[in-house]
Amino acid sequence: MADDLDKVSASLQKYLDEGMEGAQAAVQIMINSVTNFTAETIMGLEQELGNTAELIKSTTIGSSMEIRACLETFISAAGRSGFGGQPDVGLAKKCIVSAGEAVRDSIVESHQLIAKYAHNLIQDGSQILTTSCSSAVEAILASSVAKDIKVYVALGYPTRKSYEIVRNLQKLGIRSTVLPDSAVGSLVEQIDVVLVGAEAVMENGAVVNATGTFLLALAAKAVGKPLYVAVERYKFIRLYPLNQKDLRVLAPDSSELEPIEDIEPELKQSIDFFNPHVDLTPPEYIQMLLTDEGLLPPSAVSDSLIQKIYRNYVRC
Amino acid sequence: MSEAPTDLSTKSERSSGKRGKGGGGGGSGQSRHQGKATGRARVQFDDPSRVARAAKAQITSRSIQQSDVPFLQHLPQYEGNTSISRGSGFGTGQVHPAIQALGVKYAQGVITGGHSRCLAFVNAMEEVFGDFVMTDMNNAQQIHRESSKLLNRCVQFVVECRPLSVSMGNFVRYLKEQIAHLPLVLSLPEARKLILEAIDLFREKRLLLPVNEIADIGSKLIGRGEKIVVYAYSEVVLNLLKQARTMGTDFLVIVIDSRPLYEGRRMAKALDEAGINTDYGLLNGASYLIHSATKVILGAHSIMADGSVTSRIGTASVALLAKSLHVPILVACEAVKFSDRVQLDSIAFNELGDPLQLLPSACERSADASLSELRDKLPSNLRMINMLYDVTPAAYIQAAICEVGVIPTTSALVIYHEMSDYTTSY
Repeated sequence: MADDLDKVSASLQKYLDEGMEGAQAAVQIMINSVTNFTAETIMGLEQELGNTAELIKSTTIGSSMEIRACLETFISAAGRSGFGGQPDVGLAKKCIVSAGEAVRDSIVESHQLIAKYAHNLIQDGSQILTTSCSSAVEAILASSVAKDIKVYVALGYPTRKSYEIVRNLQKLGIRSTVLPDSAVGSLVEQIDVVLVGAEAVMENGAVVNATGTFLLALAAKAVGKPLYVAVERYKFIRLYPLNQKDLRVLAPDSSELEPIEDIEPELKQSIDFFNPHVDLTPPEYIQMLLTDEGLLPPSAVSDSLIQKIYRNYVRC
Repeated sequence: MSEAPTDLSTKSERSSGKRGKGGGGGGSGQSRHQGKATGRARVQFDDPSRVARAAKAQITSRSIQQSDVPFLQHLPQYEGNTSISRGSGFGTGQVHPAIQALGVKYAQGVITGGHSRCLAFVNAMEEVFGDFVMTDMNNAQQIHRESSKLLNRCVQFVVECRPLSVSMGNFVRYLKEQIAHLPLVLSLPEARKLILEAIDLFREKRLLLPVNEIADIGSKLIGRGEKIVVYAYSEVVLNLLKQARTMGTDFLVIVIDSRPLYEGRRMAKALDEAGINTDYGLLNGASYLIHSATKVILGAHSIMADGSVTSRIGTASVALLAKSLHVPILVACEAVKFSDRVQLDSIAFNELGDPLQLLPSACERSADASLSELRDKLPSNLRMINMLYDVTPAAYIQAAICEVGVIPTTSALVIYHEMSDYTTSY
């Protein structure tokens, strides 16, 4: 078991080094493992599918909400491919592989589609506030280069991941303004839209994203600015946290973060830090989700999940 | 889907003051559609022509009158103590005794609560169709016609005792659908068997199984040391809490209750018997009781198409308080209670209880005194309003727990449509 885990972990890392995104890599591993399965019954195939997904989830990279959501999407797509009704294992494998490849391709194409659908929401001369680094947001901004937009990036202390998007935008010729999170309140009245990415979208349309996102949402709501969330469809996940505390239970990995503080070690020893990795933005703060399936209101997330996952289950 | 806008239009006609004939034009399309759907249109009691038509179709001699409260005149006010079975007889072609007994229990409030009412109705209909006989020729066409006539008659009788709940309406619609899709060639025993199977399937999959599923799903949402607020009585919520207790979770339940039904007493008693720590208080102290709560779990009469919840009157106040205190609100509700209607307020559609229940001496009043007699003794300018349900807007509710899982209430419509597609499943 530990052996398998190491293997999965290593191949995940390999794909990431090759420049794949985490979700893409996870799906690729799933596809690979389906082709290599030795199961002789379709039932066995289904079991192995579940086992591999569990293995990926138990790696450090695979434990993120994003990859969990992606695996859920893969398994539901496999379920809908009708592999259970195939006459033999070979054909069943083919079904799953082609469904999996469709998921993988949709991940690859998603950013282009999001940028296409979101195009009209970004107006000429818009001032856009974002935080953390999201490749979907980046794709939208990249497609709006000609619109003379102004980008503000909240730093997302303490991860400083935000510099990544600043770096990428700079390559595209977009100059951005970086501000500490504490300056959001002072800036928010002058911006036009808040545009953020998401690690995952919960069933009620709540968004899980890097800490600081909720703060942006609160500020935007207070001054009546719209908050758009650019997110790929595969990040929808069937979890239902009711508040921030629930989220920390559902995603235990999200509560641990090394504090970065330049203070005397004695003082560091004697104080506690509260440094959550992600926070939850409830649906009422979100104007619209910009997905590769189109622009969705937060309430459409559960409709979409129910129709995809429960199609065969709920009938009386 | 077409029902939702019609409901709204009826509402706006009413509020814009166009009553009677003006409202009738928009309403007749609605009545035809709903008549098909639930077996009987909801009569707007401020429309004399439609009241007269409804009176003609009436089976019982029960007098259903107009409320004397001006803004509720479109709702029927059921007379308290008249004999329901009088005039409906026991001869051939009359209403089945199981339905008669059930009707009396509904009217007297012996059976209450969405779940129990629907279950009792399903059981009674099973008896009715178990005894389904036809004296003349038994060709399939006649079987279709006779069985839907039988169903309509039973529904008509039950409605005269008390308006159908949403879940009962969904059951009637399901059964009609099943009867309409019976094979074109069949004998009476075959038809009977198929109908009984359909009824049994509905009872198992839509009524009994969901309660356990909801208990399974919901009990996992209750953590150690939580303080759960519940309002009045709900079978589904009670089951959920009991299940959580069985799993060994230690938690406190705060039961909020209100006049005039005091259903919370029944809840508190049942919780106490299940070994759950229970606090009890009345709605007027709710702001204090909810203050320390970690969750509110409510039962429901129905979840509407827009995600709003109709439930026992007082629920909306509890939800409003909880929302203002940032306590998450969950609604435990089987999918059979989902509706494709929209209701914007508690007035457009509601049920009126006996207004005299609001009097402190109501419980002591003599059993044989009729409503009108008692009303005569009241001051002439005193009007009493005893509505049974209210509407809680979707924005107050964090999630609904149904047998499909934990969903936002706005998704109820999707599940409703998925589940009402009966034709493919049978």
